[in-house]
Amino acid sequence: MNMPLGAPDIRRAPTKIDQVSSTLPTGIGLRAAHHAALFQERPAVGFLEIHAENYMTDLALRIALAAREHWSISVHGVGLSLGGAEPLDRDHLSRLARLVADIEPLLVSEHIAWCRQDGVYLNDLLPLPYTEEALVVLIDHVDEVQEKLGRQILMENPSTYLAFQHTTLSEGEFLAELARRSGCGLLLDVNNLYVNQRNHGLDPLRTFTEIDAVTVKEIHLAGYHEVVRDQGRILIDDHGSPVSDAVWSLYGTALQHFAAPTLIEWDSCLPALDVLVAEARQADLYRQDADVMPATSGMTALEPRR
Amino acid sequence: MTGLAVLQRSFAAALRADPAGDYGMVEGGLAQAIAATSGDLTAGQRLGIYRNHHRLSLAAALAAHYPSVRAVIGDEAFDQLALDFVAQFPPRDARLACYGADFAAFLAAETRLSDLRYLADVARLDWALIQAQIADDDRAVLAPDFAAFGEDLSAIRFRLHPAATLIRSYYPLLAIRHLALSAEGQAETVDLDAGGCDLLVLRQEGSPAWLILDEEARTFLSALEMGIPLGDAATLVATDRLPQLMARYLLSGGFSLM
Repeated sequence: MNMPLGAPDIRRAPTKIDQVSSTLPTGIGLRAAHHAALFQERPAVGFLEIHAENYMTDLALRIALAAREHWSISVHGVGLSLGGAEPLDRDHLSRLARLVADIEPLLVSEHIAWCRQDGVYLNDLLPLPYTEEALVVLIDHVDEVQEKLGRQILMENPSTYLAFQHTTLSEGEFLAELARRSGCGLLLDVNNLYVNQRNHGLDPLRTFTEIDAVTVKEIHLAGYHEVVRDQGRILIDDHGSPVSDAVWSLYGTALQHFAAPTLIEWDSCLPALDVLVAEARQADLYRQDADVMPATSGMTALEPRR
Repeated sequence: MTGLAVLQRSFAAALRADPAGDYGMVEGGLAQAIAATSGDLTAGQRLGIYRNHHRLSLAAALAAHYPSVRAVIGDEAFDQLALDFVAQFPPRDARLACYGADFAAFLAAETRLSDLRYLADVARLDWALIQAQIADDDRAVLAPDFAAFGEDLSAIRFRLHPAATLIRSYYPLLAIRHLALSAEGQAETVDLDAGGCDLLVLRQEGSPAWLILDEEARTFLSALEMGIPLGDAATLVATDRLPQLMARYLLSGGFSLM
């Protein structure tokens, strides 16, 4: 089922990800605090996304495999440090490959960021300058991961709290080049675009037009909070609150450009499961308005996958 | 080294620098690399957001792994120790669940805790209980397996199951843990001179558990843990005790075949 991926035919290879329907109802993150409620209530969400690093123990894997009986799974990595100048942690990549082989997820994604230096994990998604040099590092690492996994991965645009003077490419140019030259897909995080707009004055509408619409294979939505420090204020992408009105509005605009499965991310200050499900339903309503999914699919329980 | 490598090395150093330092004191090259927006946050404040997240998120992971240590010393003292640990022993594995294995050793060496000598043992028990939950599966030796081994069992060697830990403390560890985690306001105390305890912490039916060991059981299991063959380990305990030690402890799910 998995195709070996190698440049330069990579973009034409019929990978599993191409089979993912853009009309798949909106998904939610699978978080430990919701395990019990999720299996009990079996909400009709489109898919569940797991953080790869949290499911690399036998116990957690069993939970993910149990969830897979009822929902499609997406694997979202946070620890590969693909934007790091140092070589990838091969042990960690092997663990990811095992997880992906065990779960056979619908989607696999990682971040345009780095998180490791001299072998130390800094436990954060750290910003990159948008330069040709950083692009080449990312492309090499994305190639390595796609080779190892034997499938396409999606790369997510980050939210950042600082920008670099020597950046030469716009966010959209950087994303577009990464997708074009590595063959990866894009995971467009609309909240991150909004956070960067507020934090750095970047224009998300420009990003929408700079990237190739067919490369966008997933959309993320999440909440942020605003911090005021002395003379300035900054938005922190903490995934700890409902999607804001401004981000819903930007999502509506994004749907005029892209048709892709959407995920509600919520990682801190977790609410009850039904709050997340309601957010997912809200996204489905936006997508129905944008005519990118059938009007009933958000309300229908999926058939068990096997 | 490339420009990106230099930038990342400098950025990582700023993240891990002494937090008591002024946020404005960012290394020259890095400060210049960060784009400035007039009337906005300084480069130091922006880096401070990342620095805070780095330190606090890892300290929070330690707090989740060491609930009874935190309960014994209080949130404020724990957080300070956790931040010191983060600074000295940052994670080298991307899995947060694996972070903090050395925390007990760190506490044992911490001179500020010389009045709380039992604290490292409290930490060992916390960590053992986490391992009992998350350590990888392995085939444990259970009674039906044993029946299949045949006549001569004396040469069989065992090892602890990955989810199991033998803990020896010279303090009443379970009483300390119970007191720390019980509801506040209970006028309960622990006599630290009440004697030590030995435990086999393990996974039973998928959940963390512990078995309290007497001196003979501890001797027997410690010998097996060291890889001493069953026949030799058996000579260390009374012959009439052996069946009970094997049934209750060796075949509890805490040991695998070597």
